[in-house]
Amino acid sequence: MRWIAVHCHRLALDATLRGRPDAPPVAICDHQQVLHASDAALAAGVRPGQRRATAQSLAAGLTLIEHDPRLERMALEQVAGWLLQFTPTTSLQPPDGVLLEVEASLRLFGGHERLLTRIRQGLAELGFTTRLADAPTAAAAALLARWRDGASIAHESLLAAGLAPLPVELVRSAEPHRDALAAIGVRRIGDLTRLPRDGLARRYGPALLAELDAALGRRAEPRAGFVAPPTFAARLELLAEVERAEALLFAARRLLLQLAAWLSTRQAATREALLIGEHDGGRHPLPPTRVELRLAQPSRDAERLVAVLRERLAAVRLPAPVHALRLECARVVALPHRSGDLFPMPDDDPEGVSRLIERLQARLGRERVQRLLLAADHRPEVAYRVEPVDRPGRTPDAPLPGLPRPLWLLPEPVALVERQQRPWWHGPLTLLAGPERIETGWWDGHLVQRDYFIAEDASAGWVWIFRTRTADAGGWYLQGLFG
Amino acid sequence: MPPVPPDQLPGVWRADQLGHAGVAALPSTFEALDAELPGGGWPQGMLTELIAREPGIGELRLVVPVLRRLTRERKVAILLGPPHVPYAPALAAFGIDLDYLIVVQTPQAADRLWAVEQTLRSASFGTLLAWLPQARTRPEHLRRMQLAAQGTRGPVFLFRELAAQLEASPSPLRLLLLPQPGQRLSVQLLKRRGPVLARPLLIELPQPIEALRPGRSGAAATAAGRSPRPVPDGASLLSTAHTRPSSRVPGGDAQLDPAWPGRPH
Repeated sequence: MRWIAVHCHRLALDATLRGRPDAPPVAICDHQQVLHASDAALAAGVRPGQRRATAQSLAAGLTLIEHDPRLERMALEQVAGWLLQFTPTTSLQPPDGVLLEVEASLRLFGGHERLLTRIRQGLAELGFTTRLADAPTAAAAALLARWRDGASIAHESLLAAGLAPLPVELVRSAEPHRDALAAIGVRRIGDLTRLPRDGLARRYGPALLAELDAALGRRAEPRAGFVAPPTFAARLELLAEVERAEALLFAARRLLLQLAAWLSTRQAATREALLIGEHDGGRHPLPPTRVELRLAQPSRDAERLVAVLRERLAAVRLPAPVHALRLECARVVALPHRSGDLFPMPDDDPEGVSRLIERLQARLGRERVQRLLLAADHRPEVAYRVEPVDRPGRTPDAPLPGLPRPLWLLPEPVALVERQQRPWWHGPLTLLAGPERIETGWWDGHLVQRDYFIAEDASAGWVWIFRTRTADAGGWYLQGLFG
Repeated sequence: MPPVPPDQLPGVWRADQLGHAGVAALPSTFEALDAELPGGGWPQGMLTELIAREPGIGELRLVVPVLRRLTRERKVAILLGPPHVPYAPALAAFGIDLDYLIVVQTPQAADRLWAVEQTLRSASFGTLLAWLPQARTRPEHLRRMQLAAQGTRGPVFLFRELAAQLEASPSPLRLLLLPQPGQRLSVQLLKRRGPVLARPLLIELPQPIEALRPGRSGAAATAAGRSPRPVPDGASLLSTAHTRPSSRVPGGDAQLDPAWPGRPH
């Protein structure tokens, strides 16, 4: 067993501030007392334990925020949800820790050091500062993480020696007895384990002994696993009124990273997600702004989602400032993880094309990135169809016309004048071949009765013209250029 | 160590020779053209400007062989901001696989320039054909495009209007296209990595194979220049299955004009 403990020592601050790219002076208060202060607030002299009024007088622009255990719990669950991508054996250690059992995952993620780096960087990208430690037991890892970032105990036989120098305050069940323990000279865990067991249990209760035994691997410690929610929904307070849609990207990216991890955990991918910007209630609450994200192909790549979102946000106008963001994703498709290639093929890049399509669609609109299809109709203007390139499934192509067609079709036929009994378009047109008679479409009200000709214009280019045979609108029309 | 002769250095060529070195190219399939292009074809990973007075003079058929080859190799061809509707039946008749053709419509000039750069940056396409808005394209746009194109593998064609031939451009290859009688295209190399080529090349444009009917040039010549007259039903020269059965003449095929005229001799 190898447990990694993730200790979010600034959870209250991170949960509040992670929607913002800057670091404003903020203090978390419980009633009248400051509990946590952000870096900017600390620099101004605010310290935990001060009174509200003292803190406010020390730092001018200080924002005081009431301590919200629910928000912290939600943030911890978001951390745990993100960590599930590394191992299913993940459990919460409230109020500010998550424990992962990673023995079986070490090889997959490239070893112990790399996994730790990845966890640390990944959580930093989500906006959480962490201390990591690892040990053969969960309780030992949790103790080490609270003690010192990067602490590690390599083997079970080293547990007792490794835990001995830790201050006794780190043991949660020793908290009520802190003064009593200090009075008898117990300062470190090593001092505690040297005391007789029965006396320890009698004086300080069985919980303390149980926690020590669990940490030292003398006692099994069953833990409830954390389970990913069946649909993804995450919310992020921005702690500010954001007026420009582009400025939402920073916070939205963090939500998208969480979505990507959730998808990875479920071995799934998605084609669509919904970003919702909540406006402040006020007297006339506005309906939230909804930004839909669509991908050309299912994916769980956060950067790909970010790229699409960037283009979408550039086109969004906010009716009012946004104070919180939600990201929702309900529809997913199964997408197993790829095995590593033995011989990677760099040339094959269908992914790149669908990424490009997504970016273009996000800015230009879905229907502007098209593919062409043949349709079974003899009328030239309906012998082809245009549809969004990412529409799933495609109909089989119709057979080709056996006769030459121009590469350029004019959207609307252009009426030509007739001079000297010849059709005229920038000069006289010389008929080269034809006519090809097309007379069809009586069933859908767009009857065409036309004779098509290939003609050469004055500058030797070839054009495709027709002459209508209907009585009311006779005459020459230009419909195509041979390109 | 003896000094390296300059013509053996990568990226260095004599101005009186074609700069083949370091240029990956796809054959244009027009021999006369390939012989004059550095690398022996359409260069990959750099811009090629095709300058023509207006769309429709044969500029698209010049690149049809490349489109056919790349789409059949399952590489994506992107048509960005085409001036008219690229006509699917004609493209398919040229053997282009429509599954690998993407058309991007950009009514706004700024969007089009953005889309060109995005496409070049993604470098995931087989070839890019972009019609640049003349009024909005500045040399700095082209410089950005040329830089972005260097990371790509496909040939990149920029279709430009006639006014562009007088402007400076960072594109390493610039061609001026003029239509010539008989479905030929005069290609003037305005700029290439090599000596100046004063005389224009004459290129025979490809024609749809299925419709090509050789040996019919005589009939075409008589059809040409004849003033059109209303064609009576019974004498419909090109009957196809969709015309009314009554308009078919037994043995009428013998009088048909060729669907695709031959070249005048």
